Amino acid sequence: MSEEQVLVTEVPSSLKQLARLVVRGFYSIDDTLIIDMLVRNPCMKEDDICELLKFEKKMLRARIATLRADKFIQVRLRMETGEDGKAQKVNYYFINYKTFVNVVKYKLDLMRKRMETEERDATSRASFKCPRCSKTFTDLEADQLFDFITGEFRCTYCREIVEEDLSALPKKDSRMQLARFNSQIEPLYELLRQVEGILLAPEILEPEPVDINTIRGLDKSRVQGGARPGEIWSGEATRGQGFVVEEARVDVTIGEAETASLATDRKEQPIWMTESTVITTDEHQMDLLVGASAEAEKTATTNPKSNDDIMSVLLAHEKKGDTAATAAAASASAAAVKPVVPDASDSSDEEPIKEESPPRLSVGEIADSDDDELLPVVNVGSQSVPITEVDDKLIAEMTPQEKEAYIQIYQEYYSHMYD
Amino acid sequence: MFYHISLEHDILLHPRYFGPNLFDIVKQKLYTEVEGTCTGKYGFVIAVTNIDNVGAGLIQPGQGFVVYPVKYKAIVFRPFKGEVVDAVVTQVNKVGMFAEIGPLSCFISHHSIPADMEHCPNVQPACYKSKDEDVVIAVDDVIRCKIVGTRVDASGIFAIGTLMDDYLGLISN
Repeated sequence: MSEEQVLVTEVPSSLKQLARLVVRGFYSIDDTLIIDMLVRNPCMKEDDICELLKFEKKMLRARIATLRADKFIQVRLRMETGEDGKAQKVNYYFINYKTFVNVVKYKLDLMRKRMETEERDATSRASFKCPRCSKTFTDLEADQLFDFITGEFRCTYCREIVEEDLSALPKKDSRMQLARFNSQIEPLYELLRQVEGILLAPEILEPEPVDINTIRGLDKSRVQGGARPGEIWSGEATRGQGFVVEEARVDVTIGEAETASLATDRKEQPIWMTESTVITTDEHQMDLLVGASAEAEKTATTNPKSNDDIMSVLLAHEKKGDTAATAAAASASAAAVKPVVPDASDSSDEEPIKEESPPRLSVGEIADSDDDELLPVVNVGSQSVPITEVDDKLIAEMTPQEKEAYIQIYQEYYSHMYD
Repeated sequence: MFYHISLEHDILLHPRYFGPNLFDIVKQKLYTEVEGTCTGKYGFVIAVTNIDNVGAGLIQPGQGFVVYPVKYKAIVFRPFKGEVVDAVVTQVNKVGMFAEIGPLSCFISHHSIPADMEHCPNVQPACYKSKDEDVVIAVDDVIRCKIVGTRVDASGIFAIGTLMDDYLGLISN
């Protein structure tokens, strides 16, 4: 008993379920929605209900009037200062669960009684009628009517044979009605038994208004009333938070730090943007760059010779620009960037030129074989080397005579090209 | 439903019976006056089982008759609504059938007889027959019925019953 004396400070879910079941069973969908709303939010302003349910005020009032008449919901009148600064009366609605339970019990009892009466009436309904004197008889008087000798039913007053009163036929299942009622209402009885003996705290019976923003879930500062000691967690505090319909948004952030670093990585500039691919006095770096293309690599190894003669390079460039423009350009494009410039003294102005020459040369060997069929040969020591194959190393090995001869051949060769 | 209860009854005795057999006569008179009667409150008195006490007789002034208040125990049959009882069919007709539950007569309207049973007036004896002729209820058959209402008079009780429920109807031998 002492346990039951403890005031419950939270509406038990069985009570809420009872409220919902009852309105669903016996009321319209509009009433159901209103009750649902008040079950979720203990006390609400009329306007807020309108707003959330999208009801018309007139209609809402009609529904609420029904519910109020049945004592399902109760109203509290408050004076509030409106937006225009004037005081106005505002209706706040809430469910007083204590009253509610009593009302439900009362109504169920009333229904049961009515049904019992109906059943009894069906039993004592006049089922015989005398055609002459219009006296009616029930089944219970059948023994008085029945004449055992003739086997007929005769009026007790005028002895006329009575007829069955077909208009008073009992309803088909009138006898089963009460049983069906009991089985259908069983869930309600069950819930009523559960809530029996529950004492609700006064603040639950007379709840404080809930702000619409809280209901909408906009105001998160709602007092959550942390779990009191000894209070069993029922999920009430976190249930049904926020009613406003928002766009569903799902934000997934996995490893925030990681994504941050990723973003910066992405922005890091590639090397060809930060450093010039063209000029360089640093041969090593140049090689690296050249390495990017196989074609370029090839030229890097084959061209050194040409590099030490600026003139030849210039000539090659000239030639390409003038005569072999299209063909050379096309083929050279693959090796657009390549030059090996061993000469540190080269100015940046010359660089483009130098760059252009090697590909051209290399291409000349491979592809433009038509005009290079007669490759001049240079003698270096004991070996003969085609002029295009001569590189720095070979030049270094040359004797002065050989070098002179080489220069001559070289000039001739390129002058020929120049033509 | 049967009860074994204590009852009281006043025996009015003619002075001619005053003598050595007076108490035997009082008992005898009690049996004849009580057994088989019916009261609305206690129902049918089936049998007196025991006479507990015969009180002091009270001579009626101006008559010479003596009234003996007798306390006795008796078995009574009191029908109740909703009670399921066995009955013997006594009469069958188109509006229903009559049956007897011991001293109690009972009418079962044809509305309270399962719809698949039909009255067959042309068959001898008249009866209620199910469509597949599996069940036939005629006079003198034993049926089990449920009392759905009683009418209590000063002189007796009358009941109406139904066969429309589980396990009701003809009790096959």
